Amino acid sequence: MKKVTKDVSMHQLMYLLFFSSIVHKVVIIPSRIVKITCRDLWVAIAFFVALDIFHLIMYYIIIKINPELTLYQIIEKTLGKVAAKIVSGFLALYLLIRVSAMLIDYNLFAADVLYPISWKPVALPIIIVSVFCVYRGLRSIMRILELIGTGVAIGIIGTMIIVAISSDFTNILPILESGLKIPLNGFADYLFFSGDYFCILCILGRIKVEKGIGINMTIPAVVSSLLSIMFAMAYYGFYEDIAVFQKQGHALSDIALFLLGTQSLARFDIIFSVMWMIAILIRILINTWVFYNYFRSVFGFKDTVAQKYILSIIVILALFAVYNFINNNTLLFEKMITSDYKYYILVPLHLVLPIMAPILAYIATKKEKRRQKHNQLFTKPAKE
Amino acid sequence: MKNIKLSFKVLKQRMLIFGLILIALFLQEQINAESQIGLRVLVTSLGVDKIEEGYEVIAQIFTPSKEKSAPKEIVSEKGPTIGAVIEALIVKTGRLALEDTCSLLVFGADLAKDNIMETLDYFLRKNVISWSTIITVGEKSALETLKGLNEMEKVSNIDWADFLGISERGFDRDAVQLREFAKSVYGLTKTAHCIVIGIEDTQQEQPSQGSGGSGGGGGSGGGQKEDSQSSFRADRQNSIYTQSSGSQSSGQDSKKGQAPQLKMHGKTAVFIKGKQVMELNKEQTEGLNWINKKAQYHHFMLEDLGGYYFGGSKVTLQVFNKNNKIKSRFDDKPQINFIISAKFELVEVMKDQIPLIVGKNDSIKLSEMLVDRTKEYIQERVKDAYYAAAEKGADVFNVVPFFYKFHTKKYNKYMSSGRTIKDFLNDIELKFDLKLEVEV
Repeated sequence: MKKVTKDVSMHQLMYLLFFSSIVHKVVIIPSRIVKITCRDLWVAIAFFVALDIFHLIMYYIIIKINPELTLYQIIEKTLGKVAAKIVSGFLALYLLIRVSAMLIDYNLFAADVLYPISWKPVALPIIIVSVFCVYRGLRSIMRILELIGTGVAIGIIGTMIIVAISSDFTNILPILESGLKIPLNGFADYLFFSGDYFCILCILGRIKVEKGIGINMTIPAVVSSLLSIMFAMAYYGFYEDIAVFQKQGHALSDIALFLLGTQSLARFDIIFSVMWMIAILIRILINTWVFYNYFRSVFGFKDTVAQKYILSIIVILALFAVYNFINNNTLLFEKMITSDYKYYILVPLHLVLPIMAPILAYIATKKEKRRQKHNQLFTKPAKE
Repeated sequence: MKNIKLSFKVLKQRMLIFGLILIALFLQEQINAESQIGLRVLVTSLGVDKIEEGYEVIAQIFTPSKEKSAPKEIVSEKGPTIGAVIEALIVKTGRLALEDTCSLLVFGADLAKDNIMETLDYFLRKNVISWSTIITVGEKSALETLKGLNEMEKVSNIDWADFLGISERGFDRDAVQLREFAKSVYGLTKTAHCIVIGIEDTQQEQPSQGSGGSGGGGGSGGGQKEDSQSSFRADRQNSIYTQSSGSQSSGQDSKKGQAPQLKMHGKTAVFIKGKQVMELNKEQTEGLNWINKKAQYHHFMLEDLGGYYFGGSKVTLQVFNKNNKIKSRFDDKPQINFIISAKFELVEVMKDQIPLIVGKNDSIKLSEMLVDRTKEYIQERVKDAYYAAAEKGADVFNVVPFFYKFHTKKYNKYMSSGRTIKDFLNDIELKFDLKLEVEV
């Protein structure tokens, strides 16, 4: 078995967990599902959080069973190489669409909070920079995350505090007046955006497991989950029913402006918005890495410089092509991700795979141990 | 904990890099602003009037230039829909117009009485202007209001941007931002309210020199020219920004020779479902602001106090600080409790002979006397505003949502019996819990 490098330290994992969870639930999801859920928006967000926590528990179990195995190796050892390639291909395709959608969301956010112009030309440089970072390896991405992580996290938490003190939380009352069905619909309709900790599943085996991994995974997950739910409450509390008119990005910018009382002085909210833009970029980077790696696994690219160059070019072209397709067919994309057919892809991905993965990890570990034992039996003891 | 400490250690070590990233971001912003400023026009106020063809949108624009005091201009355009008109208006300026600098939105009197929902929908859906923009209703048309306003700004240093800053804290006006206004319009009772402003068009005795000239005519953008007959003539010395009661502002003779004046009679326009249904007068607006958390700056006069010290005098108190809370109860009857805790300062006693208190420290007694009278005064004002609005079915204090939020079952039961918001408002029992202190 090829030994993978331990690219992610515990410290970096904490950042990864924090940023992975909070970005979508604050910037992308609320403005979309508030149209369905209205005052029960926060309940729908709680469903997203619950799914994330469930995923995280499953991934933690896998780490505890065997911290050395990657997802690809787990499937390869238990279900065979073909199954591993099919799952990887499936994941690569999902990540390809997800990263492209993130790029569009990034552009929309930038247009909302900075300048209302087309940010389309910015997509290609972002893709190229992301792929370059991926080319340099996961360790480089993690170092970037470590470098800017604390500053950005402080900015994000700052925004959250500002939002919390401004809003009238009583506006979310009465809770669930029409039952659970409406927030459930909101959650189900935008299930595509769930599974924020998916990247953790894909970096399994590369995490440098240290003592206290449980608590180190819990702290960022709990903080980001609470902040996400709190933001959803504050978001509706602040805008009430006119939240449906809010464009993504506007909410954060508008609330920050209102609270800082700087409407007539300066755009101090830009500093908060930029922090969020960096956070979205971090997510794009991580997910590009996941897409790149699964693509490589499916098509069996080797680690030579030439093949890495070819792979990088293919990834850039694929991302840019899908990005353009989605950008030019926004309605079709929205229809695709909200139609009932999505369950055929998302249920196996978000439910079956996370449940199966620990079981497969257990079987793979057993097999590995049996093989090692078997090897020891047929290996001559070294001469004394 | 170890990892959190490590995070701050890394931040400390890399502070320089992080700082440089931030500086780079702001530098970029500045460079862009410098190079692109010549291409832009800033929209500072917008007005909308209802006309036969549809709408007339009026914009007060500021064109950045190297000249020190480039005057603001008024441009207008007519058309069937707000979106089409605003687009045509922006094209006419010949530059890239930025609407998010707009700090004032004026609805013409006719539009307000007709319905503002279509207009409001555009501004919310399109998100072109900041949601912090102050919403007003003009006493006349929006065009006349903005023209007068523009003339006023030419001869004085008062800018409408200042108005945004000062308005929210006063008791004598009901400055509402677009965000709050829209929330109310789409809220449970669909009741919204905003300030009413007017510009007094005064006739001058002598033609004055250098009164602003062609700048106000919407010249450069090709917009509609200002009507020279409705002369807002002003000179720098006489420009006045006034706030007067209705009776005080009526005498035309006394204003001859003055610049156009901004009339703020303290009136508040009240809307239900986007249609103006009534106007609150100055006293009722004050009543509204007693329950408004933002309102803090206020002087008010008490009369008929009696006693040896205040007897026959007029006493002025100033609000030092004020906090509000509303609590609801729904047992047999809906009940609203207005809780106000405030501190006041005695600033003026108007009397011919004011006795000195020699050797007699009765400031506590005097203070209590003022507190009792102030309580009566506040209750009177609040009740006046509440019942005047309730008669029209308008929930100006936004109290009905309290029952919906905190007593949902009872509220729904009440409303399901076929009764209306108006009935509900009239059924609510008003209570006051006033914790007041007056420093004598």
